[in-house]
Formats: sequence, structure tokens, C-alpha cells
Amino acid sequence: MRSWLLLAALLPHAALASEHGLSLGATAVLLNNGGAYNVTAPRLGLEAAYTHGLETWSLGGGVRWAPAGGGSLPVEFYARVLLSPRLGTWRPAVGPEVGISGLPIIITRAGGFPDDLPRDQAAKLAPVYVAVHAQPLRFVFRSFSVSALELQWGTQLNQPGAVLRLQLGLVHLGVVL
Amino acid sequence: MKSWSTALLALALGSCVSRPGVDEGALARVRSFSEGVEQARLMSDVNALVASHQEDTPLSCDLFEPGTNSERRPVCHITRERSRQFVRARLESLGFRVTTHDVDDPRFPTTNLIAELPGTEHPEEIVLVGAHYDSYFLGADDNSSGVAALLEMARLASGQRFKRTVRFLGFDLEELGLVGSTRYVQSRPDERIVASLIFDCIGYRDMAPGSQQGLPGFPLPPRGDFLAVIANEPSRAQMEELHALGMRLDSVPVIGIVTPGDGSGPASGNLMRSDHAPFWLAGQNALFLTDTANFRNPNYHRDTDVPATLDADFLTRVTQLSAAGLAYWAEGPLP
Repeated sequence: MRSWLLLAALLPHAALASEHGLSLGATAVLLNNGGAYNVTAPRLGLEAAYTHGLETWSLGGGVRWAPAGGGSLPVEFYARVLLSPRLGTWRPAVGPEVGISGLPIIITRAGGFPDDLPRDQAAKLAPVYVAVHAQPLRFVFRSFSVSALELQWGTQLNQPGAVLRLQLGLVHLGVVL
Repeated sequence: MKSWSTALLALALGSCVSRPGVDEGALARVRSFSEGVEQARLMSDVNALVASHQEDTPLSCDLFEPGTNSERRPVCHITRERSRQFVRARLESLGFRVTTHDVDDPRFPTTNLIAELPGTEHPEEIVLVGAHYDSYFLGADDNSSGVAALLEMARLASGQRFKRTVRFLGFDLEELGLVGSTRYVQSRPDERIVASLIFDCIGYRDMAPGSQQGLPGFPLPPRGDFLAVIANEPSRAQMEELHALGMRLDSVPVIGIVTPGDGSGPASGNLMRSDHAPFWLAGQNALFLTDTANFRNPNYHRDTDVPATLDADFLTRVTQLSAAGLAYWAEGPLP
């Protein structure tokens, strides 16, 4: 009973302390092939994210679009939970991200080589990934936010470790509502 | 500092191998089988294979995008037709019925060569010996050395009986991306491969300190005088058995390396650069035997990869160890 009372007392406070954020940014996704021929190909793209922030953590999601990444639908959709202590204007954040990616994971070598092995590898990898996402340089100034050099490290969910996923958020600008 | 690095190296390598026992009853049998390897035949086959590459017409550069031909991948200097004819003729002369696994492809058709001895008791269980027969330039080490070892083991096995099926495989177009082996594995997904030995560059040795480079993430001894036997987790037992056989038979020094899981992963790319990789990705058993190629041999993928640069004694002892492994796993030859 006491815990219910405590929760009831905290919820309005949490609601009051919550904030909504929207951001746009430039990002680079690097997928490092596992296996015989590692091809690391950074794919530049744009990213739009929504964040629902509470006291020390936030929920969010977004979409990345990497038109130069190849594939029939070079888009990623993701959701994430971030721990985000409030240290004045500096609001670093870190937490897990789960997403589904339309970017080709196994990249065939350039030059016109046969692609039997890459195709075989790619067929074994599901598009769902899990990652740790970090925003070490995120700052909030009144109603605006800026974040640079976000870093993400992850792998495909169905074969953990088979492929390394790196994502570098170059710069994100946002508004806090 | 040197002692620290030596200690770390010993720790790293020691952790790879857990020294299993070898069936003592089998030891005399496999020793006798492996002692049949003849250095003169090996080198004769290497020379013949090199000659076949020299006489052959390379694949057309037009198959590749402009600018692809490079020092690392000299795609305008790859040959395979005559070496395939040579391997087929040699296997047939040994009494094997050679079949082919052909894949039609508008740009890169492939033909794998298959010769086998059906097992007398467990024909569904296969011990496989494979090597790619295509080469850049003359390809003495890469991979005439491996093909010569395969042919010599086929010579020893011909006319013999083994409990398990012994299969010899000549893979096509390894140099362009493990093409033949990938297609082969795709065509036979449910085979029971008990053990397999995949040769790629097994004839180069350099005793000089500093002659051996480490693989990124995998430290190696400074002298290039050992055989690297590379396994993934499902092949670990066979790697340990081959290592133990090498110790008992006083063979070449063996450095065993085990990659976690199925072997794939961003850090293990250099360990998947040959025809064992498709087997690993398919969950099949495969050992990769190599002198580490460009991490030791300065002639790798160059026109200087000629027979005179090979170490005949090293190639012979690697072949003997491999023959011992074949006899051990295939359980033969039977009386």
C-alpha cells in the first residue's frame, strides 16, 4: 500500500519533469563484415529522433536514412532507452538500442568479384540489431540541444558477434519541447 | 620487455591447445601411412602444377571492373584450366573415378574436382582433404604446394580401405572469393564431415628471426618455421588431435589457433581467407593448414612465387602430418 502511495506521489512529479525532444542530425553507419573479407564502408546518412525524457532517463526512437548505403530500403528504425544524468547543460546519455535495418550488412568487394560467399553470409543474418548507444557530448541550452560524436557499438541479434556494427553520430541539433 | 612478450605469447598459444591423448593403437598405423610420403613426388607435382599455370591463359581482365587488377589481387594473372586438367589426370592415373561439381555462371563458372574412397564401415562419415587449384602467376606456394600434398595423400590412399569415406577435393576460384568451395558446401548441406584438412600455402619456411609476422590479434612466434592449424570451435578437437599427432610423430612445429564460435567475426577475417570458411559458416568441420601466406612469404601473389622459394623438407613434413591425420580420422588403412 505504501509503495502505491509513493508511486502516486512520484508520478505527477515525473510528468512535470518530463520533456519531449526532437532532433535532426547527420550520421555514419559502419558495418564491419565478419568472415573472410572485411569491408568497412561508412555510409553517410540523416537521422531524425524523438526523445521523451524523464528525470534521469529517456525513452526514444527514430529513423536513419542512408541513401548511399545500397539496398532496396536503406532505412533503419530504432527504439532506445538512455540513462541521462542532468549535469547542468551537459546531458550525456548511454543505453541500449534495438533496431531493424534495411542496410546491406555484408558488403561485396568492389571490382566485380563473384559474390557467392557474401550472399551466403548475408542470408544467414537477420536485419534486427542490438547495440549500446552513447551520447557523451550532448548539451541542452534552454530549448535547444546539440550532440556531437555519438557512438554506437552493436551486432546482429540472431548471430551475436558475427558482424560488428559501428555507428557514429556526427552532429545532432534538436529542440526541447 | 622481451620476456614479458614471450610469456604472453606462451600464454596465448598454450590456451589454444589442451593436449589430448592420441589413441596408441592407431599411432603405429598412422605413422606407417604417413611415412609413405615422398619428397621427390611432392616437388615433381609442384613443378608440374607450376608449369601448367605457366602454359595456361589467364582469365580475362574484362571480367573485372577497370582498376581492379592490383599488387594484392592481380586478377589479370589468374589461371586454372590446365592445373585442373593436371589434377584430374593425376587422380585418374591413381585409380580414382573423378567427378566434377559444376556450376554454370555467366561470368564465373566453376568446376570442383571430386575423388573419393567409400568407407567400408561408415561410408556416410567423410574425411575431406581439399585444396584450391587456381593460382595467381605461377603459384608455387599458393597453392601448388597444397595441391601437391593432396595428390600425394591421394597416392598413398589409393587402393587402400578406410572405415570412413575419404574424399579429395580440388576447389576452383578460391582466389576470387572462395567461389568453388562456397558453391560446393551449398550443394551438400547435410553431409557428415568428421574431419577436413584444407591446404592453402604449405610450402614456405623461413628460419630467420623476424621472418614471421603476427596475424592481427593473434601473436605468432618470430620464426616462420611452423605450420599454422586454424580451427573454429566445432573443429577444436581435430586441431588438438592433429597437434598431438605432430608431437608424437616428431613432425613440424604446429601452432594451433582456435577462433570462437563458428569462426566468423570482424576480428577473425584473416583466419577465414581460404576454402575452410564456407564449411565453418555452414556449421561443418574444417581445419585450415597454412604457412600463413603473406604473413611469412614475401612472394605471396607475386610472379616470384616459384618452386625454388619452397622448402621441400617443410612441405614433406606437413604432408606427412596431414596424411597421419587422414589415416587417424578415416580409421585406416585397414589390413
